[in-house]
Amino acid sequence: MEVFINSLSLILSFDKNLYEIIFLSLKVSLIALLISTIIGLPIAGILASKNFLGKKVILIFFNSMMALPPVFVGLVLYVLFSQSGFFGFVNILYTPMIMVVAQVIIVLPIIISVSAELLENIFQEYKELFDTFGVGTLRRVKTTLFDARFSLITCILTGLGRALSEVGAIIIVGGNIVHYTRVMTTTIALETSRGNLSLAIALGIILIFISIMLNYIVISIKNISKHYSYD
Amino acid sequence: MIKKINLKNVNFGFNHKSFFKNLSINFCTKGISVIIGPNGSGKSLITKLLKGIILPDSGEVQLIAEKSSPYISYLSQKITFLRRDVYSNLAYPLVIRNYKNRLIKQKVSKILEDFNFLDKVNSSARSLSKGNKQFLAFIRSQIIQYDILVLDEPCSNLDFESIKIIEKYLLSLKKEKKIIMVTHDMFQAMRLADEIMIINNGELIEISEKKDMLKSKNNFTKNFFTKHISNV
Repeated sequence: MEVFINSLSLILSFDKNLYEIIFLSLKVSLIALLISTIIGLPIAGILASKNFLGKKVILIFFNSMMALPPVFVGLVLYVLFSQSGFFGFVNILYTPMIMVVAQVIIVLPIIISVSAELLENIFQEYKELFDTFGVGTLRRVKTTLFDARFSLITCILTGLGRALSEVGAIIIVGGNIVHYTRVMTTTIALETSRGNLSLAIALGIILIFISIMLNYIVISIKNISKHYSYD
Repeated sequence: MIKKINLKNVNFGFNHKSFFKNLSINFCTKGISVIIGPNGSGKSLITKLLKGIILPDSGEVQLIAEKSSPYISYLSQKITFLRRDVYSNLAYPLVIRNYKNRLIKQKVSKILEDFNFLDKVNSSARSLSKGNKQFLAFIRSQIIQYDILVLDEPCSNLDFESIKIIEKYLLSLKKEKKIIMVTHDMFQAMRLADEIMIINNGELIEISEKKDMLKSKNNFTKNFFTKHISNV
């Protein structure tokens, strides 16, 4: 009980260290999500709207990547970006930047796979309409993305949930350096092993709160979309 | 001015089965051509071949106009609307042709007014009743300039009033545009057609002017007409 009270007091006293960790977590995850969305949605749009040789292989690849263990992603990035690695010259190991890279690798397949399936359903429905009006490929992708926007937001938020809860990859590539690469999940792992349960639980509560907020946003978007999606 | 609308030795198959075998049809270049026939006879496939939505396995679809190649406005039996309101659905064919916003607004408002549909401008197109969806799809087929109008059962879900509006519109339109339409309504065919063609099992059974069709000596045609008229 005492641990919970201490955790709550950490949260309510706006502990500087705690909020620094939360802020970095959100920053890294949101940047990774933004990059994944910018790269992922056009790829999903093309995969949904075009039939080409190798399309199935690409879809299988991204589907398989969804199940990729984050620890393995961290390990591969560590090998590639360490001083003796292929990308060692970039010198970003143990920085927030490599943490963003790791999260992009984890979130991107989710964005691509889930949205490609969603977009393909809409695209198949619109195909004859597009053919009838002679709509070009780029416009087809744009139209499908626009009309799927509410469902896509849900899919993107799923990606954010995945990024925020990720620990295996970023602890390896980020190094969990205090005031620099320490985020919520890595702190929970570290503080639990140290026996400092107050901070770990405080962060856990924040993570749950964020998760509830994300779900609330998803449900709200679904409700709003009933009025504005014209579906 | 349309010079030629032909299907020439068209072969087309699906599911590893050949459906049209050397199908040739010479459509009259003026007035309204109505295609009739039983379910699954290939009427809709002919409209899709004309529009170019499906391509023949071999043979040719010849569409020749006096100047450039003619543009076909096509109304499919399967009606699809974007997940948008009525206005945006009507504007879409103009948007993709890079019309200016002001002109789009003018055209959409005008056509909605002409067809007395203005009160539904902000409604979701997908939430309209079946009949209103079909009526809206017909309106959408009129939003861009075309040379040939191909309609696949444009009135199958419409009420009597809406059918009357569309038929009146088509009859006024046939002086300027070529119209090809599929219908199951024999009486509608008789009201609108200048030429009627009967299709069965991917074959052209008969093509003739409306007045000659009722006097046809072809057994299939005679049975087809008798059956439909006795049903009514």
